[in-house]
Amino acid sequence: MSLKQISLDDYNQRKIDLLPILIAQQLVLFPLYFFIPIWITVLNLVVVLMVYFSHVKQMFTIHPLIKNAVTLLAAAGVMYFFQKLTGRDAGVALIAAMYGLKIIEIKSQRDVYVLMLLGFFLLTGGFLLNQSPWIAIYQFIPVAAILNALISIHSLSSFNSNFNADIKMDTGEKMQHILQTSLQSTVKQLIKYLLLAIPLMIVLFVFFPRLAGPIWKMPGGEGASTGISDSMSPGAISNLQLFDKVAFRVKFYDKTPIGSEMYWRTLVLDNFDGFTWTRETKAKEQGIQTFVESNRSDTATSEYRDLPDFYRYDMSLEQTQQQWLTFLDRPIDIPKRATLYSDYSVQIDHRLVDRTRYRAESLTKLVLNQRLLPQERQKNTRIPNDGNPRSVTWAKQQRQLYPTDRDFVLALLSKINQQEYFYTLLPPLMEEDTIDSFWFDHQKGFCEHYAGAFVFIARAAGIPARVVIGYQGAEKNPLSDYWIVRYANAHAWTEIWLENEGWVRVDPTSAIAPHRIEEQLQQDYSQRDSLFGDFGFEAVDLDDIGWMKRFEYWMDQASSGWNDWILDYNQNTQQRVFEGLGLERLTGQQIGVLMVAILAAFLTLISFRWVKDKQYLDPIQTSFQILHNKLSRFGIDLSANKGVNELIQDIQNLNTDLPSIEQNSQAQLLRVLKYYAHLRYQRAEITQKQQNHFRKQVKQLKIRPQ
Amino acid sequence: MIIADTVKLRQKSTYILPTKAGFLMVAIIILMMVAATNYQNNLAFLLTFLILSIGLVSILFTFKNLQGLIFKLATVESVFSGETLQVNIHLASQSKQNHFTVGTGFSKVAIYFIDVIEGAENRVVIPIQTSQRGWFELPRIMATSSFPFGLLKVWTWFRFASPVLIYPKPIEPPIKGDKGRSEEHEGATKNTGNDDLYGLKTYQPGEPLSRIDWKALARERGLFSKEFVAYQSQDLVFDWDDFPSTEKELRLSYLCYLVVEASKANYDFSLGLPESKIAKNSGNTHKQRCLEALALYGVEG
Repeated sequence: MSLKQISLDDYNQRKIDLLPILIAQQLVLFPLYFFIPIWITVLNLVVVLMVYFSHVKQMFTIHPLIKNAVTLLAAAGVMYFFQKLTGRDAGVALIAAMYGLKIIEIKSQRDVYVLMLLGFFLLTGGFLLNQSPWIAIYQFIPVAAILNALISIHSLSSFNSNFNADIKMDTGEKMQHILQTSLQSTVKQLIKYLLLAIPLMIVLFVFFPRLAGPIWKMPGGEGASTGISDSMSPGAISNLQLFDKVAFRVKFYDKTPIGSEMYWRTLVLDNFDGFTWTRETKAKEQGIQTFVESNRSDTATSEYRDLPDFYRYDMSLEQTQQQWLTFLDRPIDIPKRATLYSDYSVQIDHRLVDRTRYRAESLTKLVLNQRLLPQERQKNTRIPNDGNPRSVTWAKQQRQLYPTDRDFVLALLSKINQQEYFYTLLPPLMEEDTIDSFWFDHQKGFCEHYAGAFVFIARAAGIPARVVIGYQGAEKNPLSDYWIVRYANAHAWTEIWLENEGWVRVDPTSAIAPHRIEEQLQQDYSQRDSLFGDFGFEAVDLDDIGWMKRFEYWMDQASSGWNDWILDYNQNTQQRVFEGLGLERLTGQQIGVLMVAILAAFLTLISFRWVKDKQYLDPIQTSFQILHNKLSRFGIDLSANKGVNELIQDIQNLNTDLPSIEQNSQAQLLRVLKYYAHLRYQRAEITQKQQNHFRKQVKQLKIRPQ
Repeated sequence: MIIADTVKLRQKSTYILPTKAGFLMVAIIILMMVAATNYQNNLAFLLTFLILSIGLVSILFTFKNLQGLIFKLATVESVFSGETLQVNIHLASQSKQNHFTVGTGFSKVAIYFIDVIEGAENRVVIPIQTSQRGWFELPRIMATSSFPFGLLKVWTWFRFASPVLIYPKPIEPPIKGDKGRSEEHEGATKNTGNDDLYGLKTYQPGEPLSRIDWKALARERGLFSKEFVAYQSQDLVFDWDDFPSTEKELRLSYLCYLVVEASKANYDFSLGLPESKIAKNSGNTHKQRCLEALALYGVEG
């Protein structure tokens, strides 16, 4: 009983089983189906059914013209849909369409490889669209399916499937059983491949040297994403995407502010052209520097460090591509290289292209500009001469009702709270008189709309006001002692100048009644609860973390750990670990070497299990090996494609190709070779006595040159 | 290179190289790495490293699919020179593991694939053309595999130590030339029977089909039937000297033909060679002895 052997020609001409390939391809495409235009999904599924019924079920064949037509149709469709074939979304859609269609063209093993290996790349594309933990875990399924498809095209099982007819029933059944168990072992092996690959993956993930920024800049999409830019045009955005991407991490010393105090100040926008808010202030703040410098020496710390609103913290800012630093509102100690402006925006002398760490101190109740210079007042009450007439008129009317600045501001807040103002991330587009349009017509928007309108109306009433942008809230990583602030926490609020109080923070968004916040938003982005909820801060209960959240934190810690371990190699923490390991400071290259060493060690470790094996040698092979070594040292290759007999003849005929050998040793060599030939050519098993004899002869053999 | 009759494949002198698909995979990993770096996407990095790790692990698994395999030369049926030798190899796994799609062959373009399944009898038969009588040393054999993923190809060469005996090519002697037949035949009555081949005559309908000289038919000479002669004398002597002034190898071929045909007819015969003589006998063992003697005539070793 034995399996059929397959010749190379049959093997090369075997029919490719499309089913595992089809399955792998669809598993790769599945996550993309949620993001690409629906018609591409439909087209792909039609192609799949076509291939399934024609190739797998053999019900019909597809005409090559149809293939070409479908391909052209898809390309034209993508072309039309996206106008231009650049950018991430169009690229992914085009690749998905082409990838889906490729399966109708599979003819050879090469096509299968291209399709399956490109599948890995497509999975990467999926991560550009969605980075949820589900997708991260899901990726193992298509990877396994691709590997399975690769195994299936290398397996002989398609040849063996119909061999049962050739042999008797009972042996057939037994054979089938063996094949089935062998198939199960293939699946087991597949799992083994993945399990063995995962530790390697982790080592690579942790150690592999990476570039800090993109190799080239990719064209961005049209939708706005949250995060901080240096201007603000609330009306122009109709779809705000909340990014879970981390903006910065912060670690507090001694004490942590409550959520309602966690306003992270980045930039002040004090100039409005009717559409866009920009920053105009150029004056550098002098007061703070003296204030800070006078307190910098440790002897004088008690003055402000004992205040209840004093906080000291480490910031780890992700790259922003801008020069603005973020601080807990309001900073009193900033990095030396940074410049503080009179509006308490802090600029650094280079663009933040790397993740940046700094230590800072803040006093949350620091009084700013108790006295306002006339030109400052003029600048902060300036509004464009034309545009938004309704708001201007309305502000002036209100001013009549509330003569004090404080009352006016409170009245505005209560209007937002009492009337139908909604918080939404999908506000209508407002093209002209954006303030009027928002404040009176739509009454729907996000923080930028509220802050912009609030400042505009205050200014129209003659009250100095400005927009502050930054972040609000934070999320504690319960597995560690730091806080995470994401792009989704980006926020805009206002500062109103009040007599004797200086610039006072007023957050109009927080005045919106909680029931007028989009329900979806409340559910999805619990971070924002800190704005609207009764509790000052939403903390995650350590005993009650969902596994999704746990994974998120784990991922965040991993990337934070990545940062600590590799990118910030000069940081103290790292050095300490390596010193603890007894290693000198390593360079990037040495880290690479270390990584390769760990990988090699791991691979060696798992290969060891197969190396240790019991002796299984041909009886005279060991002796023969020694003979072979002796001869090869002398320039005679026994293993060459030449028989022992020929070698004996060559020696006897004194063939000139051979190196000349001294007479005695030549006779001895001939004797050994002849005995070897005798052992081989005898038609019986080699006995123990013969083995010993041969071994002795080989041992005694000494070849000397003439 | 290992030379033995039972060869266990080891890591030493086993070669491994990426296939075209393997190089494609490397290119795709680089592409993924660029994409992951450009978008600073950690999950993309994870996936890239997973694929890279699978590539690394597959080096071991491709190796493993060949390592620990034991190739054992099974008894090889001697053939006549010019025929194709079917080299029968038994494969077993030392590591009690299955080895899939293992290729074996005398050259990399004549590979035969089998699965080596634990518990089954795993046999591969690789053919090789013979051209000379005597001891035939099997050329080197390639064992190769690209299982599981076809990204890498691993191969090694080994040789089986035991040579195979090749008999001379049987050539029908010219009928009139066999004057060397035993003297007893002279004048003996020739009765047409089925005991001994005497010559060919035109086929007569009604004669047994087994008598048709198929070779003659194949040569398009017409339909002949072999004429067998039952000699009254029982003793057949095939002797070296029956074919004087004939070249050595041809003589051996003639004698081989006679031995084969006489054995087919289950007739007693003796074989005489210049240095040895095999006494009159019949049966398979006798035939083997005679053929071996013919194969090894004048061969060293």
